[in-house]
Amino acid sequence: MDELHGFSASQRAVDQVTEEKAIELVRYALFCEYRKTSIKREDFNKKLLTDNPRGFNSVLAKANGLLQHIFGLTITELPAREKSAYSSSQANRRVVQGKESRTTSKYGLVVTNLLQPDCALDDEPALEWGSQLGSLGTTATILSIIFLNNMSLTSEQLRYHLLKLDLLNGPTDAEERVSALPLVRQLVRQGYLEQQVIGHAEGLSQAATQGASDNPVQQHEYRWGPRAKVEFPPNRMAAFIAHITGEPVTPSLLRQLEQASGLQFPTDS
Amino acid sequence: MAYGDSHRLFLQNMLLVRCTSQAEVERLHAQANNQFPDAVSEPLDTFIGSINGQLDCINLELRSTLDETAGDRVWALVNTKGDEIAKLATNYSPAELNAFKHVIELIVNAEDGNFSIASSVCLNETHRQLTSNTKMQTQDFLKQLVRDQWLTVTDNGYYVMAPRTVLELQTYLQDEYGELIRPCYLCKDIVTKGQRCDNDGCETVMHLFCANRYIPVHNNDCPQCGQSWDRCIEFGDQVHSAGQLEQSRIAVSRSRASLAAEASEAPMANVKAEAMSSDDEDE
Repeated sequence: MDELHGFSASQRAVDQVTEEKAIELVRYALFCEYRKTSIKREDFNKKLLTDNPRGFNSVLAKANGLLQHIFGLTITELPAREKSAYSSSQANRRVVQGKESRTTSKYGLVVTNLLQPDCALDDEPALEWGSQLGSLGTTATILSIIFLNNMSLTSEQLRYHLLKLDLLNGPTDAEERVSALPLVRQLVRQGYLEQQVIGHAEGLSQAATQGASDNPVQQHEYRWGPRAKVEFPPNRMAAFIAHITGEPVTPSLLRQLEQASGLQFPTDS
Repeated sequence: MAYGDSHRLFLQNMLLVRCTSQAEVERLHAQANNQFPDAVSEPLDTFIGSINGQLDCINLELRSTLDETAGDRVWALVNTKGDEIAKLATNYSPAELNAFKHVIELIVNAEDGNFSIASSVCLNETHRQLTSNTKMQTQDFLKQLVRDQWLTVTDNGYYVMAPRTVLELQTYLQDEYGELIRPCYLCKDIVTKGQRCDNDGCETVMHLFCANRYIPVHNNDCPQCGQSWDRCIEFGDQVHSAGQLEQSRIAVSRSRASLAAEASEAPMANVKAEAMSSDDEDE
């Protein structure tokens, strides 16, 4: 009987620690989301779960319960990086695969919304983005252009579209490498864009064997980053494109978008 | 009423806006009820009470105060625990946070307890903290603090603490600056702009709008020491005139000019010293 009491007391202590760590993870997740950075499992373990780094999953489950109940939000794992469309040569494949294996651990988690308010896109919006609305619109527009270009743009294609959207900041930006533009750097940092070296300006087939990122003639490919995939599932992106173009979301539009993006839309759309 | 999706949507909006007016909070409350019409709507104070009941365990709170300038109620989602994780809740760099702390220190220690500093002084002092910044970058940083609702620039050109700072940094201000931070006799919120009793031994302070409500119906006397409130002293940014700001700007430009003059005279002084020493040798 004493043993039973001892077991339940130690179990209670474990539960209490899990509860405390879950609260810390909820706060950590909310603050990371405020800065649009992903939640890094390793960082959380190192800073806050030092006693029991293996307990992350139980802490995550508990934290998700709290986040869902209080905010209608949940913590979602970011998807892994895809291979570059330009990685056809052996050398490129090695570069891309090497990068994948090195960077897999950096994929983190982000906070996503579970609420489904009772509103259509044209009605009063449910969330007040305030001053963030402009940057959200810019991000969605850039992602939609990549979406309509078979999910990939080269540096020069992206520069052309940024110029057309009047997003280049005068002659300084026009001369600047695309990868060094503040907007592009921010989108890459936030996980909306993924940037991969695909070669050099004189020929895209040339392998990117030298990793010097400050090489002025280096070419990049831009694809959707992990945060974009989580925040803009195909149906939501289709609704955004339809809204911008003033078209209704019809099966024919969805078929066209499937062809343009090369993505398969869920059948229940 | 049970905690539901209307509370969650309202809270998500507060996560986005962080600090907003009473009118906007009322609108967000109505909107949350419209978006989730199945729920029975609660009056705003009960609604916020339910949310705070849930937020308590994660050390967050929806808190309100009166804007000391306009007298309107302002709401903010505030963090009530200053742990390591809370340091993540900002987009400012550690150097910028230190510069902001310095600005707060200057505001709290302002002359005559006026809780305000002239914009030119603020720019120069902040720039001294952010040594790697250009003056333009420092100016942008101060503008960002105003956009993020941490500071307010008054019409007469002074920086003061915005309601968000008073709400979110309440505990920090009280811990750090002790007696310099006094609560209003009536509403108990921190006062940075108001009236104080003229009696040296009395510590009564009140917001202007609180004093206007309380004093006339209490014989025009200080509620603590009984001295006539007609002799109260006004403090805060409203005591500054545009002329004072101009004076402070002139003082800054004069000190800058004298520093420049000293710097240009220094090589001359060396030349003179050398000349004098060579004269000595000749002798």
